[in-house]
Amino acid sequence: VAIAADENLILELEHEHEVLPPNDTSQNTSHHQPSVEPDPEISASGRAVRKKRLTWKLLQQLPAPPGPLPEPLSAFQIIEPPSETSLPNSEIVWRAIKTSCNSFGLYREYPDIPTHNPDNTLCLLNLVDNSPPINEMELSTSVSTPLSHQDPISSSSSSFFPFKNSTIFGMMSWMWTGSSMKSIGEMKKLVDFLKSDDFKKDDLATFDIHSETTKFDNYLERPASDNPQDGWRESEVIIQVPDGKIHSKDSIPTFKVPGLHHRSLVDVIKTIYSDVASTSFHYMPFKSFWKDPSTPESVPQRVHDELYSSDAMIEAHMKLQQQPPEPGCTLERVVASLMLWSDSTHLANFGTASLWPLYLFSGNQSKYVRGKPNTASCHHVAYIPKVRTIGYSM
Amino acid sequence: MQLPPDFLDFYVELTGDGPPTDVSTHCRRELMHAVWAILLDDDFLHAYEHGIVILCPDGIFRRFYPRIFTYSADYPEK
Repeated sequence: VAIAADENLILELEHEHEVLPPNDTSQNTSHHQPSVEPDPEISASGRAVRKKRLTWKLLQQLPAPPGPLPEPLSAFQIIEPPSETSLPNSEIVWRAIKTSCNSFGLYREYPDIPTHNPDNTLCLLNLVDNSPPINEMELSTSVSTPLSHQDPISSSSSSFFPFKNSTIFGMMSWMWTGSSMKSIGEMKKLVDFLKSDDFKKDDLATFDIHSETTKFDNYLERPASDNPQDGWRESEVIIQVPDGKIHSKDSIPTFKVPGLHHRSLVDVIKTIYSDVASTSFHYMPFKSFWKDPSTPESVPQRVHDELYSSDAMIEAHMKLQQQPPEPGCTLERVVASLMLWSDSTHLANFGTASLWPLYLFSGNQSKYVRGKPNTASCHHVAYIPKVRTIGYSM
Repeated sequence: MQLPPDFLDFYVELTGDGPPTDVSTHCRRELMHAVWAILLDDDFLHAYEHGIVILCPDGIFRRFYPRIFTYSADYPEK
């Protein structure tokens, strides 16, 4: 059989010879010297598993983190430490603290020593949409720093609200979730709960299914004002309508537009900046520069990429530092940069259902993170009612 | 949240005719401004001037001053 196969191969080669130009011998030499590779791994379907390799682009040009800041100590040695006692506000200047160049020749210039460098915790995984090749994932997970200080505050008493304890919570949860037809699976769930540490027999002494259910209903039907979680409010908007006649100031016809759903901007800002996601936020703007690493004499060029490295943000930051601080407040003052967006949004492929939302983004966040849908970086602030005048207006 | 009869009836009662296109557009612009007047409430203006203290996830309290940098919006002109 082996000989027959060889003959076939020779026949094939001869056939190729006919097609190839006679002077081209480079193509068929490889056929005579098959490369000796180890047997490839076979997948379940019987095919050889193709080994995944990073492309040249990924291997060579992964975005590099910014260079490290100068050590705080040495930075203070270079620059005159500010006298903390009574520094006039006008003396707040751009101290131009430079980071070292990274492998691309990029460096940053900060107005002061930043209190927080979000890029320490940033890894490639935060910036890409689809999962990167496997070895990159391994790298990413090892690099990313866990947020150890984010320990959930153990509030054992409130987490079962509106129920008194874990036992009642568990019983009610079993009662009102899952299938309404109690099956083997449901029974299993109940037994698992009864066996767990959350179940304490003593807690059931005063358990009354009717009163607990009433409590639950009351909780679910509580007025919206008691539910500050999302803080949505409904208001009516009053607009003045021109009717082509002359009016005194008090008699201008007004029209009430009901149905503006909105949230307090301050509440939304508080939510954004206290959220764990804001670990990646830049509190201090900086100038980003590029200096050609191959020519040391080259003049650095400004890099414009993010809102927090823009002149507008720097200007706002410096202006803020120069204004007198709040009396008795020594906290770091930070510009919370807001980016608002609003346009009509269709809700259906067919039909005219649409909304007019107003969204808020934070400019302290990198655009690469902000642009990822699953980072929940977009906050809705208002839904604007529509005034329809179809039928009369042209 | 749309009110075809209300606004039309109101305007017809007011002037005897439906609103011309420019009046409709004007009213919608007025609406947008009125919405912003509601959103930029006293809380926000106070925060704009005096900042708000927020505990950041790195455990540090900072005083945040909201500033609007970009506003990319279309108002419901049609």
